[in-house]
Amino acid sequence: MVLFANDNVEVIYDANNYELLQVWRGYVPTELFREVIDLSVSFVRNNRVDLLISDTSQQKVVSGSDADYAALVLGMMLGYGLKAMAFVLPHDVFTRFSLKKFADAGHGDQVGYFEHLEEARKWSRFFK
Amino acid sequence: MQSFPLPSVFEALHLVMRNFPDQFTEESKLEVEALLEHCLHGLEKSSEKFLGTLFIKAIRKHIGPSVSDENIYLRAFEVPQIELFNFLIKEFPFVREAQSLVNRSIAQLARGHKEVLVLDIGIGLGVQMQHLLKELAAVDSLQRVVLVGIEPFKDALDECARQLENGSYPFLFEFHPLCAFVEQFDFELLKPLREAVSGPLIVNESLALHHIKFLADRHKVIQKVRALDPLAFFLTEPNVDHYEPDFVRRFQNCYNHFFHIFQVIDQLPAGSREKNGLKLFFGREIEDIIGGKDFDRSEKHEPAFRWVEKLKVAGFSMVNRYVGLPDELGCGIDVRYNPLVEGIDFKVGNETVVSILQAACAQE
Repeated sequence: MVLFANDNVEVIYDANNYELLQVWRGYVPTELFREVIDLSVSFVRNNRVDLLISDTSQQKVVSGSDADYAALVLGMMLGYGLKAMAFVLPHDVFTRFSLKKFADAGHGDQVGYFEHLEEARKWSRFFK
Repeated sequence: MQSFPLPSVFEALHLVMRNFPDQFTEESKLEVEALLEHCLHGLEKSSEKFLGTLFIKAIRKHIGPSVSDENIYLRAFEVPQIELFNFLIKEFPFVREAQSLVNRSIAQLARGHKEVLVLDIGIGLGVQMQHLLKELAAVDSLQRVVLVGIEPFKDALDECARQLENGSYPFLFEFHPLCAFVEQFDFELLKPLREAVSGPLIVNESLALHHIKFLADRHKVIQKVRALDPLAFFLTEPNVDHYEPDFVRRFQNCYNHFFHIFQVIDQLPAGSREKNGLKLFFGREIEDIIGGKDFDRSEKHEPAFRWVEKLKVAGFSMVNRYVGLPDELGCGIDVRYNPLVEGIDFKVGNETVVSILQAACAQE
């Protein structure tokens, strides 16, 4: 089920696997970034979501404050029942730095980073 | 996996520099911001991050203000100028050992002569010449040493004169301070001195000629030195092309050069306060090389082979008359004779950071 879609972002829910997938493309301005994050938080609160995958492979740089915001709400989502979050790593040099800032915020073993979507899904089986 | 590989600071900086000077969009400013945040995190423990921060600082005026202010972080590493200068002279091996090698070689050339005339271009505070006079004090034959110091900054020259004239020497010593930019200096003024001294003329410049802005003036100065018919002309210069007009290539050269210098600083037997202060000191050079407009820039280094070209065009030939090449300098520095430029390389890994050249008047 597609929850959101435009040129920069798609948010897709797979009800069979309880997986929420965010696919980011290009530069996503703050307003849109936070809108999608908030939508995801809301969906996790109201539905069963075991795994959140953020596919950032085509995403461009994210501001420091947006990275902080995403790190902050992840704690909330884990509280709502989310079991794990996986990132598909960005190709873009600067987005990697943005993601590192997110990673430095913590959340330990429940967050994984992968080169490909398939690896992320394989890893998520440990949380089922 | 729980962590992931990050690109190098150089890789990211290289992308940033492609936007220089006037193509910084809102998106590319965020890229700089992301890189800067990465660099500021653990800055004091990583030379790569320190260097990255200095490069961003150097081009800051083209990017505009950001959320993270590198100046606030960097200010914590400031060390008083005089303390830093002393540290640079005493502890920084490139300066200390290069000048020491040149001085030993000059003293060797002075042996057997009763009088010697030394011309130091860019004498500064005269630190190298004070050490040279100590070397010359051990040359038994010398009865008279005449030193001419050319220096554009009067305060430095006055201090230099005070220091040199306070020394006691086993020979008759004369110091002639001449306040001028060497490219504007009238070398004819030296002719009477040249005739009044019976011994040879030896010319030295250490980290001075690269301050001459135009290549034509560099050629002219070297030709004027040649016209004085010196026994030797010593040059100590950073071996890097910061004359390069293409900005991205100049950035690559600059990053590579200072990356290797910072590797050496990290290995110095000193505290982190001095080391970081020294890195910050080199930030001013980076600002000149990267942030300055071409006409205003003063740190226009050239690689050794270009100085050799100029010397040869002027009628010099390169000579290998160095005395006391140090075996081991530590801090990852190798000192080697380089047959390609016929000079001495101070190398860190594969990178020659500083070169010493010795030229003599070619046989006509």
